[in-house]
Amino acid sequence: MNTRKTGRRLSVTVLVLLATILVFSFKLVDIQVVRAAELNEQSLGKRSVAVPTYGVRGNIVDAGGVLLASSVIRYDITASPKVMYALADPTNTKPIDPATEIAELAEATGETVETITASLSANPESDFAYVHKLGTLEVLEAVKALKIPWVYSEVHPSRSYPNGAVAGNLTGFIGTDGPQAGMELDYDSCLAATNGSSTYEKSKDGVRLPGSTVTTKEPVDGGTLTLTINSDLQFYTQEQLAAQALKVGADWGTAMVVRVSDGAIMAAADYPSVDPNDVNGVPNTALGSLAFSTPYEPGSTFKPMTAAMAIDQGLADAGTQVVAPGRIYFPNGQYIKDVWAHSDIRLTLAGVLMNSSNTGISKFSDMMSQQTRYDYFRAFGIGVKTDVGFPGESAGSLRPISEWDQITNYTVGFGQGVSATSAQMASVYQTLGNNGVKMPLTLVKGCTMPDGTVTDTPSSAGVQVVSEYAADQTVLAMETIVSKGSLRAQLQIPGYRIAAKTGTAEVPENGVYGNDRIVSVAGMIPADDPQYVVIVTLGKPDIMKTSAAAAAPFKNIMTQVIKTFRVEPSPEPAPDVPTTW
Amino acid sequence: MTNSTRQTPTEPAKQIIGVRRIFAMETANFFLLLGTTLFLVVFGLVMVLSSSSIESHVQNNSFFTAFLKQLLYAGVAIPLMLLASRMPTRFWKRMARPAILLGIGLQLLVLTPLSYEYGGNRNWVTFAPGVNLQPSEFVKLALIVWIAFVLTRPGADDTDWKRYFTPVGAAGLVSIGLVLVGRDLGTAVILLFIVFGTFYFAGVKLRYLLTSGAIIGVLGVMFAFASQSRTDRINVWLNGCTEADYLKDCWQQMHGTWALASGGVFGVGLGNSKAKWSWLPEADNDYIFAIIGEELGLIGAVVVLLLFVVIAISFIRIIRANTDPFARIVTSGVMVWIIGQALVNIAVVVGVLPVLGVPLPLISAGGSSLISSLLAIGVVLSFAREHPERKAPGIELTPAERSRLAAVERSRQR
Repeated sequence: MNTRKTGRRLSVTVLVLLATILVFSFKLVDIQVVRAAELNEQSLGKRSVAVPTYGVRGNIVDAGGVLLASSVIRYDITASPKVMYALADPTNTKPIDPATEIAELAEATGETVETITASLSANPESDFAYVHKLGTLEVLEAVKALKIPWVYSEVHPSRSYPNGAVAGNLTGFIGTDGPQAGMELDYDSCLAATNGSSTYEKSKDGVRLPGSTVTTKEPVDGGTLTLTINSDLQFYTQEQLAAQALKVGADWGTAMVVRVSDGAIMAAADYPSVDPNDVNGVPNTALGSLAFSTPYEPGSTFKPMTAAMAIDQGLADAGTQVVAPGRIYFPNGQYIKDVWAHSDIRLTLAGVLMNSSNTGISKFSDMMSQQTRYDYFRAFGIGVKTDVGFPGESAGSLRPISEWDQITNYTVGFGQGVSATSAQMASVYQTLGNNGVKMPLTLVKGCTMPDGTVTDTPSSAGVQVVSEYAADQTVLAMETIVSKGSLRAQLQIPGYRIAAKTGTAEVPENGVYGNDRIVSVAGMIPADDPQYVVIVTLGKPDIMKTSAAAAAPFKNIMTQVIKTFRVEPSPEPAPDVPTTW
Repeated sequence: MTNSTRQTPTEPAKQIIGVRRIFAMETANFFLLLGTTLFLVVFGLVMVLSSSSIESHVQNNSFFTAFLKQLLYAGVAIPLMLLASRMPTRFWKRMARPAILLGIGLQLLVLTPLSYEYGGNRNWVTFAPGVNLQPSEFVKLALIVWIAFVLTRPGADDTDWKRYFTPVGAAGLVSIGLVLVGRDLGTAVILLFIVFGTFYFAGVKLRYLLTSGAIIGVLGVMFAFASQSRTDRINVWLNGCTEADYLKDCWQQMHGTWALASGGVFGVGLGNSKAKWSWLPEADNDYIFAIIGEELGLIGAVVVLLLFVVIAISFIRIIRANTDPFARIVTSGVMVWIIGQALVNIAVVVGVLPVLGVPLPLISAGGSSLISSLLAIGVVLSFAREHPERKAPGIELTPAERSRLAAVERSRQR
């Protein structure tokens, strides 16, 4: 053996070895550094699974921060049919028995075996199928305890209304396809969360790899929507309204409390009204808020507007004297009359309101042109949607003067042949109580985004509809209804001056006024410096077809307003305003 | 051994002397090879644990099944290596003939019902339930020793075809043929490498090697393209992977490459491989280098490359330090085997060669492979114990070697 030759060959070998190692190192650098990003992308395409991550939808709270709607964590139980069938393959060493596991799963989730089987067998090749949607933590724990390898879970935020039906008419609710009504719908842009996405990598047999989760897009939580309402007052208002509606057999009812100074709604109750946790419990018509969506012919609660515009025009004051005939006839034989039969009576403007004389208020309407009155009504917000813009809100109906016939010319002045919603009426009384300045009616204080910015704050720009004098004179005249009117016993609250107006409107059925009535009481407290407006309306009561039906809840709610907001008693009793002459 | 018999004022007990003899200072080459080998074996155990844990759990409900097996193999292989390292050279010369006969005999069992198929080839023999053997791994060592023995018989002359090449060629052809019958192309290639490498370092004339190499090369190409699956694998290697190939011939290659890519420079950390989650077939075996690259990054992969270079260097140093042609040829054969197989394995993983299916020596999971390669290194270690002072005159020592030699002498006489 040639040692020298071997030595040479060994040297050659070392060179070849080093060259090979160099080539491999280059190759490694190429794969692990130069092309790493591109190759990683390829591998992610094969191994990664995208999953949505949920932002949390914002809460809805009342003015004091009490939760009205909040998000809760629920869990979707999902499964991989592909993995299940692979594990059940009889050629496995230990094949699973899917039927037993499905039965266990059905018991844990409360689904039926049939629905789960159907969902799993819809596409046996799929990596994804729903077993159960929106399960609670208990369901999740029961499912996890089963330790079924082909079953997974996903977090799925859901909606809860901890106060149940309280303000359910205002919050609205979330259906399977997103927000369906109320503030949930109207302020969805504030409340809605932006879902993010993340990916994880799985093993070939579908196991989620530890530490492989990558967030590709951060979810963004929704903002908190603060309403103007007081949830305690809202509760009380709803209770009072519902109790009275049941008592008198009313088909429907609304009750609102509005702060005079800024038009903020303190409470807005509807009967019937929805519990957003159980939407199917009420008829479809009650899913929104009747106070915004249902216009009706309000009747005599319109009269203070007619009075205020006459005063504003300089044509009258609370003491202006008119003669109210029993009936006013028109050339075609039609006539208007008061509810009670009388011959000519001598009434002041206050007396006209106190007695709710249709003929008397018509005398004041006569003092102004149709256009003037139309413009005032529009300015008060009749025929115009309120600034709340509630979903499904109605503008009511104020027909143009070209469509006013002889009789409408007068009836508009006392709230027949015209329609308005409770919200519009509340806004009218807010204007009268606020020295003639109409503030935008508001239900939302603002939307606080997660970063602290506040949006959707209400406008504070008021509109002078009538002069301060006109508004104050009208309120003064309305006080006589509580101090001296026929319902004074039901309306008075000792120590407080209250201005109010009752309404008993006829309900047109197929164009003809029938027996049904819509009764209401609208008023403000304290009359000397109005702070809160309360309006209660009951639709088609069966056993008490006068405004007296609405008087009891009106007084109770007003009492509650006094307690809730600590309204101070009036320093002096109501002045004696003459009603007759 | 002439040490430890000298009288000292305080005569140590006989047992102490015995212990001293066992732990007597060996040569630097001995420790270089032993240390690097042990490091790679321990490193291999760690990587086998990491890369096999998931599939082990899927199959056996325990993360440690494959690892514990490998640990057991190492527990057998390492003492076997140390035992082999104590054997004198003449022992291996005596063993040459029985070893090749035993090796080929075992390999013949592949043709019997005792064999079974795993991973597309039939190179496994089972003796009892759970006791399986890959005879071809032991044939590698037997063949090396046999070739060295034949080529160094007295009166050696590499032109004497009848006397030298017939027994070598017969043994080689039979071994490779039997492995090919078992359809284990990778092992056949390694065996071919070993035969050629051994001839090359034995000093056989280059023109013989080139001529026979060319003939075998032509035959090899014909063989490669004779099978559709091999043709497909080669096409994929030459032309790159397409989406259509992904599920078929590219699966392993692509997932291996992706594993390396996800490792980057520093790796994803020990135990954090994603490819081992059932994506990469043979993650603890043929493709363990991809898992090393993924978990320990470019740095870890290059370190493994360099450790094999260190092993190669220690082989070369042992060859250079030894005067016995038999020892030199056996060492070079083992070098061709261990280093060549490592390079082929890594070449496959990084995409330089088509998929051949050879494990990474010392690191990959597999009992036969680990035991036989450690036994082979044990044989080489036994040659490394031959001391430079017995070198034939005329072989010059470098100053460094001389000082090492002096240090060794001092320690031995203390």
